[in-house]
This record gives sequence, structure tokens and C-alpha cells, in this order.
Amino acid sequence: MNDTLLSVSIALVFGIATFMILRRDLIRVAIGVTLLSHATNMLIVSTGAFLGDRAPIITGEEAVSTGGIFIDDLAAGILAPVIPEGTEMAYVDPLVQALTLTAIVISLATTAFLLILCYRLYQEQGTTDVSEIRRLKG
Amino acid sequence: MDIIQHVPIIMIALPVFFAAFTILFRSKSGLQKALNVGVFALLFILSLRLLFYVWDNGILVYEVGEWGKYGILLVADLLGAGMVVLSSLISLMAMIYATDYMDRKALDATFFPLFNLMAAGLNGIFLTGDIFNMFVFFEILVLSSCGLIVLTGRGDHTKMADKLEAIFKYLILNIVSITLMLVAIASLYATVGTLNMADIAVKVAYLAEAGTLPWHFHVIAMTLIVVFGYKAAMFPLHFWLADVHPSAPAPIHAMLSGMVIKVGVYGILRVHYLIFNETMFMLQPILILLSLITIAVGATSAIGQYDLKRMLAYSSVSQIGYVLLGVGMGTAYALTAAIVYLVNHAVAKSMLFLATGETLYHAGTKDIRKMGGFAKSSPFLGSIFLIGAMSIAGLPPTGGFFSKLVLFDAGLSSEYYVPVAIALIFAIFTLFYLFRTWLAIFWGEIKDTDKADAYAGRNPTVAIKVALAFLACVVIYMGVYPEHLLSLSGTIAEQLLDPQPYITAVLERSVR
Amino acid sequence: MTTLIAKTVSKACVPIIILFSISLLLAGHNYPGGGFIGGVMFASAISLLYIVFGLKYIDSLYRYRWDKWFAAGLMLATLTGIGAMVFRYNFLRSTYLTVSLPLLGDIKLISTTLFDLGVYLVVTGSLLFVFKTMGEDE
Repeated sequence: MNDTLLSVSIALVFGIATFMILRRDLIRVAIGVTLLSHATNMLIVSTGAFLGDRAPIITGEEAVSTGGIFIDDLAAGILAPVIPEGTEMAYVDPLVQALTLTAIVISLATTAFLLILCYRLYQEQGTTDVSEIRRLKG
Repeated sequence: MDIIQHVPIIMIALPVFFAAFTILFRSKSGLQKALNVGVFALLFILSLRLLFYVWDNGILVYEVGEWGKYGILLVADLLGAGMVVLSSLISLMAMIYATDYMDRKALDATFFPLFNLMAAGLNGIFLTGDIFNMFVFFEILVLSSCGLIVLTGRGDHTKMADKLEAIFKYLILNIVSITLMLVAIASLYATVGTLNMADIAVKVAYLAEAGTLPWHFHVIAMTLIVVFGYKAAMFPLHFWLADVHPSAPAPIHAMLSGMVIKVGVYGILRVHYLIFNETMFMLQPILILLSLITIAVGATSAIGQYDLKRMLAYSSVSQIGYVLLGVGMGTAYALTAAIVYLVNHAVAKSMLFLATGETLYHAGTKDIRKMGGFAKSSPFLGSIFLIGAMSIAGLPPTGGFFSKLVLFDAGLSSEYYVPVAIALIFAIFTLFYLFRTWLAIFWGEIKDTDKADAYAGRNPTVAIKVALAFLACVVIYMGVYPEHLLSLSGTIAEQLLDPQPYITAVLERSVR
Repeated sequence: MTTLIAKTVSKACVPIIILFSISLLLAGHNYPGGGFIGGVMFASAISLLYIVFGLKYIDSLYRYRWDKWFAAGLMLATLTGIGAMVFRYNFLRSTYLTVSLPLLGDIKLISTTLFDLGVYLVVTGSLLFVFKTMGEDE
């Protein structure tokens, strides 16, 4: 991950998400949670986006091993996504995209649950201010 | 291929299947109860079978989808299979208990599907060999337990608004902690390029040997400690537990305090002792310090509580501190002690919470000061509660005595005198608040004499008695014959400290 | 939202969106697409109908139980995995069958499609169940 701009923007989204989660309004907290999951997804994708610029779709005759992604030859000191010296890297890592898809699906479910929870909480307690929702103590 | 080799995936797939099945056949209440109890009994028998198989034949590796080298693996080693047996036992008892305890409406609507998904999530966490998959099962566990906390049972005096507030806390904190876990996993993947835990361990060992272990590896280890510490309610992250767990109905409370917080301890045992060996020298003092503060904070908070469920929730915080103390000391004997403690606490605490739900129903209130004299109106509940309290406080002849004995012995043999002394002081606190509570609830005269007739009509039903009595038998059994659990835990501890068999079993299987 | 333009346009669009979602579902093994994306597309088409025509009008035509879709999808997906175990393979092992049809040529029938169909139903059912439950609440 050499791209400084990418890193800075991911950090920025993380910062905004943290700021939003610390707000007092329920809906802002929900937005913050959504942003947090987006920032994480960007982080995961960025770990795979080294050098390669082609989509990891293998079509027909191009299905040749490019020798970069799936190398893990411990004897030669090569660890999987770490590209050895002089090897050309054609594809971005497809695994991180699968991971991101899973994370997106999970964050979809979480966000839907959270929004409904906020709505029900508003119905029960008549407020969306977190500091007023403090019945449990002791 | 023998059917026994499919048991790891059956432990996950069968509850998921029945989660869908129970949604489709919602209206048939009697069928649902019988079917779900049957399924959980089957899962318990299968998990025992799996444990015996792993004990005899070594680690069982299952390739989901037969993807060979790049697929997701399920690995049933002794630790994973043992935890699965524990979770199956407690979920079976909670399920039997819940069929009579939960409201009819809650049972018909969402209880069975969500409970099945929760069991699938727990079994998945204990059996998976892939760290990202562990994250997915964490998420399943969290969402299903959030849905279960809202449901109401008959001894549940928490209002809906309070339950929603508790879930909001639980969900937001869980999302943040799980996001941290995902960040840690992404960084780990960017460092070593694999998600299989055994593979990660090999590559980390290779990097450490070459002296090129990057510094952020230690940061990843710390982040994962925060995540698992949050799950286990370790000291700076324990505050949510006393709000969330008492809001749940009794069977779910038993599952949450019995199994779900143990998931954090399992995570530290599995991930940190397998992958982060290089960092443990740094983490062990931190773990010991934090676990001591956890013990102290939990015990002192529990003393001031008059709400029965809340007091026991703080007691859970304190007890998880003892388990983490054993984990932090890190010798083979201390890990044995931690696992023995974990098992004993899981069984005794879930029994205590199931008994508590029934006691609250019996009393019609959750304030300890308004209770009294229940030993006359319900001697069964009184004796069950007494056995649970004895086990948590560490008195013979229950399992809790041996867990405390082994833990302190392990601490003394590796010369941790001050931590053992502190833990011992707070063990006396535990004894004090549990027996004060027991005396206040079950001893003396009935305070509300007008309600004496009402008490007589609110006694446990047969299903509830069966669940409680079975768990009580397990607690006594572990106190009378502790050597079985001790030898199993000793082997598990040896495997944790020497993960080479695990790595060999995972990596050198026949690749198709 | 119940303007004439919206009604006319959505009448024309919804069948096309549904067809597109099905094509995404069927393309999903080797090309972009799959159960999740197709399911989200289908759910968006139906929710467009709910928004434009109103929940009550659609319910008066046919009152659909989306939670049953969800359950059926989850069952189908699990059964696909268990089905492989019946043939003495591991859980979720997939296989394919090439059939030659007149006019269409060679077609690969992949057993993973069943799993994808289950995912499609789960996503559609859960999203629409959430939308409808929230929408019914006055």
C-alpha cells in the first residue's frame, strides 16, 4: 500500500466515523457506524491493491498463472501477497475483494438492525438524545 | 469417509437449517418445542462423540467445499471440541428450560430461530480454523443474541425500554470492537498474506526467525487483546455487562454469561497462543494486571447491589477475571487451571442464572430486600441456588473448589505470590456476597405474608426442574471426580503451548 | 411519490429490473454478479413498487410473507451443502454438468447455482421483510 492519498483518506473516514459515533443523536451514531464499516472496507481493499491494476476476473485464454498472488514458497522466503523482486504483478488480490463483500453483507445486516433499533428506541423513550436514554444504572 | 468426520460441519449446519425450518413452521408450537429439544440433544451427543474421537485419534480437519489448499477449514482439536461440548450442554439445558420459561408469544415468534443461530455461531467460533471466518461467526453470535435479549419470559421484570437501551449499548460497542477485529485481520493479512491460523503461525515463526517481524505485528496483537477482552468483559471494557446481561431473559442470560463471554477467553487462548507467541512476553503482565483489577472491580461492585441479576452479572465479571489470571500466567499448569475454571464457571453460573430466573418469578420482584424465606415455599430452588453459590464461591464438594485450588496452586508454583494473594482476598468477598444473598432470599421468614399463597403457586415446572437438576449433577460430578476434567485440561494446555501438532494437522493434510 | 409519471415509469422498469436481477443471479459463477447482488437488485425493484404504489395497494392485490422467502432461501442454501454430504463428499462441494441443448448450445449446470439461489432468496426476503415491517408501522 504505497498510496499515501489512499491511506490519508481512509484515516479521514475513520476519524469522521469516530466523531459521529461520539455524537448524542441516535441517527448520527448510526451514520457513524455505517461510515466505520465503509472505512474498514476501504482498508481491506487497499491491502490488496498493490501495483496491479487489472480486475481479478480470469477470462478464457488469459487464465495463466501470473506468479505473484499464490506464491508461498517458504524456502525461498516468499510470503503470499508480498511480491518478490522482479516479478510482474498483473492482478489485484481477489481474496480481499471476497473479504470486503462478506464485510459489506454483514454491515448491511448490522445497519438494518441498528436503524430499526433506533426507531424502536425512539418509540419507547420518546427521544433520540443518547444522554437522555439512561435508565439502566446501579 | 466416515460420518464422524462430518460432525464439525454438522454442528454448524444443523442449527442453521433448523433456524430456517422453525421460521417456516411457526404456528405449530408443540412440534417446535419437541423438535428443538431433540435437535439440541442430538447436537450434544454428537459433540461428545466428536470430543472422544479427537481424544482418541488426534486433531480432525474438515475442508468445507473441498477447495484444497485455499479453502476454509474447520479444525476440531481438543480445545475446540471441548468448548463445543460445553456450549452444547449449556444450550441444551437452556433450551429445555426455555420451553416452559419463555412467553408463548416469544417462543412462537423468534426464540427458536435466533437460539439456533446463536448455537451455530458459538459452534462455528470454536471449530473454525480461519481467522476471518471467526469474525463472521462473531457477527452471527452478536446479532442473534441482540435479538434474543428483547424477548420476555415469566420471571423477567425488565421493561421493554430498558431492554432496548441495553441492546443499543451492546450493539454499538460490539460493532466498534468487531470493526477493530476486522482492522486487525486486514493488517495481519497484509503482513503475512494468509488467513488460515496455522499458516499464519508458520509464517510468523519464519519471519521472527529471520528477524524481520514488523513492529506493527505487536500492535495487531494488542488490538486483538482489546477485542477479545471486550468480549470477555475484561476490566476497562467490563461496564456494558452489568447493563446488558440482566436485561436478558433467564435462558439467554445463562447462555450469555455461561458461554458468550467465554468466547473472548477462547479467542485469547486460540489466537494469541497460536499466532502471537512472539508478543506474549509483553501481553502476559498486562493480562495479569488487568485480570486482577477485573476481579477487584467485579467483586466490590457486586457487594453493593440489591438487584439479584445485576449482582450476579458483576459476579461474572469478577469470575472471568480469575480465568484471565490463569490465561495471563501462561505456564502449562496455569492454562490447565484457567480451562478448569472456565468449564466449572460456565456450568455453575448458567445453572445459577437459570435458578435466578425462576427465583425472580417466584418472588415477583427483583429486589433482594423484598425476598425472604423461600426455602419453605420452594426448597428445590433453594438447594439448587445453594449448590451454584457454593461452586462459584469455591467450596467443596463442588467443581468450583477444585478450579480455585488448581488456579492458586498454579500461581504459587510459578511464584506469582502477590496476584494469588489479591485473588484470594476477593475470593472471600465472593463467598461473602453470595452467601449473604442466599441467606437473604431463602433463609428466615417470608416477608410478605399476604403473598404466601401466590408463592406456592409459582413453583418450577418439570422441564425447568430437569434442566436445573441435570446441571447441578454436573457441578457435583466435577467436584467429586475432578481428575477427568483435569487430565483433559492438562492435555489441552500442553497442545496450546506446543502448537506444532495443530499446525501439522492443518497444513500437512492430503491436498486434493 | 404517487405521481402518474412515477407510476408509468415504474410499471415499465420493474420487469426489466427483475429480469436483470435474475441474469445477475445466473451469471454469478464466473462473471460479476451472484446471489447477493441479484437479491439486492430484486429487493430494490419490489421496494420501488411499494414506494410508488403504496404498501396498502400492493397488499390489497397480494399480501406477501417475505419472512417465508427468507426461511426457504436459508433452507435451500443449507440443503445444497448437506446434499453434497449425501453423495459422500464434503459439505458445500460443488460439481457441474455440461449439457447440450438445441439452439442454446453447451450449457454448464453448476450446483453452486442452487446455493446462489438460496442467497438470493435470503437477501430478498430479509430486506423486503425489514422494509415492509417498518413501512407498516404508522
